This record gives sequence, structure tokens and C-alpha cells, in this order.
Amino acid sequence: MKLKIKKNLLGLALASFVLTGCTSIAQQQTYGNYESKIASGQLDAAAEMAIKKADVNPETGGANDLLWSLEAATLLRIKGGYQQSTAFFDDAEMLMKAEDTESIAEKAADGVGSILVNDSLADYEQAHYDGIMANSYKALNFMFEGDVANARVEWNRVDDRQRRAVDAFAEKIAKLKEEQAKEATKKKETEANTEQSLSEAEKIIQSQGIDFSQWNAYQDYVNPFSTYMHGLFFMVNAQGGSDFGKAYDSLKRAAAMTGNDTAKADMVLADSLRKGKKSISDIEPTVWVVFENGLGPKKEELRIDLPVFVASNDVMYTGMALPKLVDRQQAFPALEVEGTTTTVLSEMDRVIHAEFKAEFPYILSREVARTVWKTIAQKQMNDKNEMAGLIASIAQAATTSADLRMWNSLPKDFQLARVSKPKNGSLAISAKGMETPLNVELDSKSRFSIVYVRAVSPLASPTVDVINI
Amino acid sequence: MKIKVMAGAILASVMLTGCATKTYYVDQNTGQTTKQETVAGLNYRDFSDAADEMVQSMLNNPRLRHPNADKGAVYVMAISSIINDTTQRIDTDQLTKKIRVDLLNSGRFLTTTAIGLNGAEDEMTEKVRALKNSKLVNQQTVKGNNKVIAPDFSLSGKIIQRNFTLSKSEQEINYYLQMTLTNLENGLAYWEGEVPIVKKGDGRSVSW
Repeated sequence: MKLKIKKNLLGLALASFVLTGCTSIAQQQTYGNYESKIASGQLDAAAEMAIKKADVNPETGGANDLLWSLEAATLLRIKGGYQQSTAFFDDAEMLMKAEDTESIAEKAADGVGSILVNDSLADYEQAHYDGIMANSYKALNFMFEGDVANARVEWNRVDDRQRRAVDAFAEKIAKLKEEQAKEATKKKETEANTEQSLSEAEKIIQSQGIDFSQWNAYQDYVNPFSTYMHGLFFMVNAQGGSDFGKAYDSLKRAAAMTGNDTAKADMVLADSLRKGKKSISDIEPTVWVVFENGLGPKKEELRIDLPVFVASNDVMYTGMALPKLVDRQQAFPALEVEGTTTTVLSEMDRVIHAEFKAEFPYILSREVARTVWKTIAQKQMNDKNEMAGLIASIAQAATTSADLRMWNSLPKDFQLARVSKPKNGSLAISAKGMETPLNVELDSKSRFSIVYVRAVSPLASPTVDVINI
Repeated sequence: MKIKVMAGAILASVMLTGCATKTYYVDQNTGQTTKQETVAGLNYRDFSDAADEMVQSMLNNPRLRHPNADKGAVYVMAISSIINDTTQRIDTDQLTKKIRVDLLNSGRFLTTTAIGLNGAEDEMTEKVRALKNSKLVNQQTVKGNNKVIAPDFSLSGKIIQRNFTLSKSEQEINYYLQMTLTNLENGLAYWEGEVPIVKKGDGRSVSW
């Protein structure tokens, strides 16, 4: 009988070890490989990797992996494959919807492994900024193709997603405050390990130099880039007075959130168009340069082995692993456009930090609960049989892993400049550290142009898309 | 034991299906949800009902009756822009086609396909005139100039969408289908119509 138990335990421990492998190492390798391809400008290779991982069903043509669909769509967009990019973003939107509306039972089934093992086993649940950026990029794809009607639909979707995000964050923050207030009154009555450990864990995290206090969301957790572009789209493509109203509302909001001078000037312009003081034909030919700069934060693992609050002589290993955000670099500090320097419109870093900060208490409490559960289980096994205890400790070490998944190819910041359209129709763009300046040819017949520059790193040559209106 | 198993099975099935919130029309007079199920987007029925309502309203409008209607005279209508200002990818022809068909059948309007906002809907009217010097074609059958009829009216419109969160699990989706018939002689809107469609459905995700 004893032998049988031992065998079962051994099997269980080995199975979980084999099943999850060293999740952290696997995740780090995948993302490290992907990131180095992007940063060194090997966009074809990175796109190929993302498309492969997006798990496209050969029969339906639809992708099955949400996060890698977003990656594939982003890289295809940078490479100018707008239609294929839009198709991946469409798939990603469908997968987001499925994730939003899955039933409690499906959620529970999805969560079983993650509750016991680690967060990376559950399906990826999109951040709000994922949805907002997916629709923003799709709208840009349509604009690059000259499809104003479909771009309008996508900007309307952006607006609706931002509205939903505002509601969701307000609710989430209210709920968290309520829970914290409840915990405060309950603390003395309970001796639950998790409660105690949570406050200890917070101390450890602070001692690791992780400080969320500097991370402040933009007003209502809105992404100002998307709000601004929504406004600019409706201003330069207005079909009727109500579109100028829409443009003004968004530009006003973006200007208030960011204090960006170009956004402010655009807001003033939209206001005079809205009030009929000016008409589009009164505006001198103008070029807006939008610069999508560098790479946004990535997740790394913060591993705390043997935290004091759960360690005892009867366990051989205990530890926890949490995701932390690590900021990456700009490609260039700014662009120089015909004597004008681009200024920061929106920091994607800030948008991502704020959402991570709001989510972190939930990530932390899940990980602490898991660590306590795993450690108690290990101790119980050890009490029965030391060999089983050893195996359980190995399994615990191997399965302790943070969820490092996130949209990796988003930029660090978005910058903006507005200049008069050059008479010769050619726009010169340079930057400190940019080897070859860019020369962008504009359509001589268009009154307005939006020049969209994407630079992922100083090592990769920037790509340029032009929208002529 | 058996009871326990059954209870478990029932609970599981409730959990599986319990959260699938369906979408229903909302009665605009009472603000209450009707029992008529629908989809969050605009479907065939929405367009069909809206077109019926609008055409009925047009036909009841005496200004849209040609003064020589008794002698078989009809007005000619051109299709202008129909702006889709929703979050759904809609082909606006879904709305205009039914209106065109119903107006044609009513005997009051003909639609020109030779003149449109961004060029002709059917370019053949212009193309066939290029046959004028073709040796292949019987020249007596080639359509002559000065024959194409200019439109009297222009049909334009907009489809608007507004969403509202009611609770974490419910949202209200409002659509406004708006159309205008402009008399091209004087630039005045001789007819205008708006059909609102209100739906209530799953609020956990987006409405598209």
C-alpha cells in the first residue's frame, strides 16, 4: 500500500514536471528570440515566427492564438501587408470576443491548471489596450489603403472600446477598494496563511525595488494616441457637421490628457470647423507626421525563492514567481521634419504600466495562494514519505513560473508634428542616430497628408506609410 | 447518491448555458425588452423593416408625386452617399436596394444607374456610346447623345450607432437609420425619415 502511494505521488509529480516543463525558461526563450528578431530589423523572420505561432486553421483560415495573431498582424502592418494584417486583427478580435463571453464553466475548466500550477497555463486574457490598439491599427490599415468607409467603422470601434475600458476600470478599482476595506476589518479574526503571506509578499516586492507609485494612468485609463487619431481622422475626412463635432471632442480630450501642442492646435482648428468659422478649403495644405517609436515594456520574471513567510524545515523548496514590467528603448529621441521636431503625444509605456498596476493585486493574490497551496501539499507529502516530499519539491520548483505573455511589438511612445506641405511635394525626415534620412514623396493633388513612421529600434530602418487626403 | 449526481449534472449544465445572454429588441414606447430575439448587429430583418417603413412614408408624401403622374410621368432618383457610422461592417446597399425596388414597383420613381456621386453605378450607359464608330455594330442601334435622363431627386443617408453599458452583463445598442430625399431642382429636402432600432444584449463583450 505504501509503495503504491509512493508510485502514484511520483507519477503525479513527474507528470506535472513534464507537462509544464520549466515554463519560465520556455517563455523567456520564445519571447527573447522573437524580440531580438524585431530589434535587429529582421521583420520577415519575426513575422514568419508570429504567423506560425498564431496557429492558423488550414480549413477555415482563422487563427487560434490571440496573442500571436496580434503580433503577426502588427508586423505585417509594418511591412505594408495591410490586408493580411487586417485579417489577423479580425481573427484576434473574434478570439477576444470568445474570451470575453466564455461561460463560467469554460472559465473554470480553463482555470483549473492555472489555479494549481501557474497563470501561464490559462488562455491569454486580453488587456483593454490590446483591443483598443488592434482596432486603431486596423483603422490605420484601411486609411493606408484609402478605404475611408471601413476606417470609419474601426475608429468607431476604438471609441466604443475606450468607453468600455473607462467603465471597466472604474468598476475594477471600486471593487478592489471594497475588498481591501473588507480585508482590513477581517485581518485580526483570521489566521489564514494566504492573508498573512500576502502582506509579507508585498514587503518582499517592495524590497526588490518595484515601485508602482510613479505609474499613473492617463485620465480614465484612456489611450491618448487612439483618441487623437480618432479626432484627426474625423477632422480631415469629415462628411457633414457632426463629424467635426466628433473630431473636436476627441482632439480636446487628447489635448487635455497630454498637453501636446500639436494636439491643442488641432483642437482649435476642429473647433473653428465645427462652428463654421472656417471651412476645410481655408486650411493651408498640411502634413501630420505620426512617429511610432521604439518598443514598449516587456515582462520578465521576478522569482523569489524561499520567501521566509512560508519556509519551514519540512519543505525543501518553496518560492513564487511574478511578472514585472521592464521598459525598453526608444528608436530615436525624436524626428526632425522640415525644421520641426516631433513631440511625445502618448506614452504606450504609461498606458501599459497603468493597466498592469491595476491588475497586479489579482496576479499577486493568485500567486501567493498557489505558493501556500503547493507548499502545504509538499509538506504533507514529506510528512508521509521523504522521497515523495523531494519529488513534490522538484515539481514545485519546476512549475513556479510567472505569466510573461503580452503584446510585445507595441511601441514605447507615439510622437507628433504638424508642418506645412512642402511646395516641392517632398518631405525630409531625419533623426539623431538615423543613418539615412528619409525622403517622403507626397501626392501633389492632396491637400492633406498623414505620414506614419514606424521605427522599432535604431538598428532597423524605419518604415513609412503615407495617407493622402 | 443518485440525487447528488443529478444535482451535479444540473449545476454543470446551468453553468454552461446560464451565462449566454441573448439579444432582444427593445420596445421604444415602453423601454421594455420584447420577446423578439435578434443579433447585436444589423440583420436582414432590420434593413427590411426600416426600408418598408421609409417607403410607406415616402409614398404617403404628396410632394413626391409627379404632377403628370396621371400620364405615367415618374421622378428619377440618384443614389448619393449613405454613411455607415456604426461599428459594424455594413454594405449600405442592403438598405438602399430594398428602397429602390419598392419605389420602382410603386410606379413613382425610377433610379438612375448612370449618374452617381463617385461615378456611375453602371458604366455601360457611357461605354456603349463609344461604339459610335465601330464597324462591327449596326450604327442605327447605337445609343445617341442627349438621351440620358438627369435625376430629379437624390437619396442620401446615414446609419448611426450608440452603445450604453447597463450593467457588467448588459448593454443597450441604439441604431438610427436616417434618410433624406433632396429635390435637385431647389436643394430642398422633400422627404426625411428616421427609423430607430433599439436592442439589449450581452454586455460582457463588444457589440460587433
